[in-house]
Amino acid sequence: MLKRLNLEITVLFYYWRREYIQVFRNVEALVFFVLLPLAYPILYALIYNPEEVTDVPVAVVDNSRSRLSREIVHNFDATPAAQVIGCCANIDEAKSLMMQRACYAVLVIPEEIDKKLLRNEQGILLFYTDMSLLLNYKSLYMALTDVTLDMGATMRLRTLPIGVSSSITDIATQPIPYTSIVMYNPTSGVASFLIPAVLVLILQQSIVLGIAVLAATRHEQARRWYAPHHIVAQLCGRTLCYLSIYIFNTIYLLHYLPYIFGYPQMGDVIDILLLSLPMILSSVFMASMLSVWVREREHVYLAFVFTSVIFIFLSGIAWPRYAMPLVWRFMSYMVPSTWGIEGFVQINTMGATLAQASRAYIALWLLTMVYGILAVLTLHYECRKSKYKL
Amino acid sequence: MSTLWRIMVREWRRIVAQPLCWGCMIGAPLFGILFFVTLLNEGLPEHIPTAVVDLDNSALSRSFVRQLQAQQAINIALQCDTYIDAVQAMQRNEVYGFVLIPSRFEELLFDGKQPPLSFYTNDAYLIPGSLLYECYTTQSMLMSAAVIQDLLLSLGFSPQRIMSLLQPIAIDSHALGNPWVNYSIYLSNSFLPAMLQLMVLLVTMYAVASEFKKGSVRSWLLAARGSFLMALAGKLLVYTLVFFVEGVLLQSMLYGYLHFPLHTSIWRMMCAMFLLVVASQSIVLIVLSLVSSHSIAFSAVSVLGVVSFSLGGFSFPVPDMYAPFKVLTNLLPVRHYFLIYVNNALNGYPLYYCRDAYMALLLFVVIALLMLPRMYRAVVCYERNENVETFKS
Repeated sequence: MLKRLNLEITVLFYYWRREYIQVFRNVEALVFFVLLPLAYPILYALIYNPEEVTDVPVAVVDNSRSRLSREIVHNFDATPAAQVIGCCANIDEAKSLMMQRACYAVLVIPEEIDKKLLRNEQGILLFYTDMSLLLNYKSLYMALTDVTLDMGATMRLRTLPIGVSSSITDIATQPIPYTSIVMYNPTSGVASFLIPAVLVLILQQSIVLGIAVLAATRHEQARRWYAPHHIVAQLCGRTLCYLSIYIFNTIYLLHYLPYIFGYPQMGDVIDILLLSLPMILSSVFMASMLSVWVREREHVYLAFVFTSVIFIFLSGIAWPRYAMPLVWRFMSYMVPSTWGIEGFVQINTMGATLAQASRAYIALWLLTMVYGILAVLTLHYECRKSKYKL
Repeated sequence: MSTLWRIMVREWRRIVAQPLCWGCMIGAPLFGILFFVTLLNEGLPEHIPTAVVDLDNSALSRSFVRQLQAQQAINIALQCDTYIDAVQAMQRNEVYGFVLIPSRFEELLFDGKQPPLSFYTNDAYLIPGSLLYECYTTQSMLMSAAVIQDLLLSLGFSPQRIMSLLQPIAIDSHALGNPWVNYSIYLSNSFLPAMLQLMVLLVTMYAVASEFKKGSVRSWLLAARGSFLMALAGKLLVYTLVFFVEGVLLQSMLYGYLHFPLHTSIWRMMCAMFLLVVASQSIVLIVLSLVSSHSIAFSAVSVLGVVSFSLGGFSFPVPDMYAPFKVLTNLLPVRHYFLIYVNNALNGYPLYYCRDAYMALLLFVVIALLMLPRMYRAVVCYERNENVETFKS
């Protein structure tokens, strides 16, 4: 028994060492293991780095030309979201500006708005927005709403009888003031919410691509990917090799990258590293299982690049998981990145402890177990079928 | 013509022999369509889990909570006793936001002391977070309005006068093309073509690269009677046809089955789809004539295909990106397709206003054609080496 264990451990160390040679001799695997995690997130982070939409061009059609209308335009222009690019003579002129994509929205102030307000009627602004990007629409609409509400409150105040107490004027302007506290992503920035998820996904996908390309290279050389005996020891040995490489990647991706770009980083580093361990292990085992079916290096691109898009949506970062159809929710449970992203966002962005992120942590260990067993089984089956030499 | 047909048949046989190839060609795009369309079926997430910290627990605060619950987008999943409880529930991902009603809320309000409500939203999940913010503010506006109404009534204003005073300036908002603010209309129309582009890039790349890899360049050229142009045209045409049919299927799904806005004739969108497929194929040819290593070429088109999802300016607008990225967006066929979609299908502008996008898509094809001699040299050179090697052995 002890002898057998001794042998297994020897095999484990042998393959651990051998896998380094395999990895460092394989340029493509190195690209996936080193260059991809190093460079790709920087590219991504830079694309989204401006974080929020500011100064969206808006055209104004001011038919009223009154003091009030000028005040509306002035206040709207003063908001961070909008930039009034100019007043158009009529709606057609504004429309042509919109068609040329010189502006994304048109604010029409009707002719009689000031008279209407003097007549104690409601004045209505017409606001047309281009809906190609919801981000533009939302920030513009919210800015305009704030402007009209503020001005409305001031107007209401003016109608009050002279001599009312200050508490009455307070109630008339805003009886229930509200403060909105945007947590964990104070600017509501796109990068701060998306990039943490992308980082975890890159971790998983680079492992999958790298391991698949290693397997494919062996296959193309007409050599076995795994030797027929001591599958478990081999898998463990190789996993240790990948794990040791990924220590650097994980620290870089999950700690230094958010630090460099100044994304929310509230979590404990130890908690993040503890979470990343089952994340990497389950990804390695999943990749080892999938690598059995990869026959050519080109197949790696064909089969796995496309999945990144699906996985990022399954993670629930963009579309909440509870709102997904049941089939996709179940599918999302099977992917390590789903739980990795959930846990990482919780700990890193939201400052949760590992105990609070226990759902993701436990799920990742379960996936590690499931994919570990599946990997051993598929590799075992594959080895018995394979005709190649070692 | 028969030569072309022979090459096409040969290519089709090669595809059929490779399960992964037709999986990527037909399976992946169809799966993608099914995935996005069913995932975003609701258009907007409804019943977002929310917590309420009601420190007042008066008739008024309870009625506020009930009204909040009545909103379609909100589901009050948790009633917390303290702020800490609510924050921890948020950190555990149980809720996406919460409302804090201060103690003595009702009393202070009737006293005219302006008791503040606090809305906490989790913008680490941007979509539910911002939707909750809208719901919270709407609800508090309504409540404020009720209080103001009472006040004005007590000051002797007439009911008609009060209605106009509650909101002196209102906004009549016209969200052109997507008045429902439906996320599916917004995402499916951009992400699905981007996914199709990714698959066109990868599969076309594989189709050409595998000839070199399997050492079948010679038989490929022989099947075309030595004509390189014929050989290439026949090969690519198969993929053009298949992906174009898939693109049309995608469009019929979006504009036919789901009735997404289509303020133009479908032919224009189909034309754009055809150009998208051909332009993506041209990119592969351009990359292949510039780069001799196939693994680098594969990496290049993969990166291009995946980056398209962010650089295409579907989620983050291009004018707000850094200047180098603004230039780079022009290298993505799907970016031009997206502009055509926005101008034509979503907004119904005349064709004139997206002439640049059509031209850009055509330009990819022209550049690819200009680069062909380079690729021709590579292929012929490779074929000669192949001959020498077979001769040696």
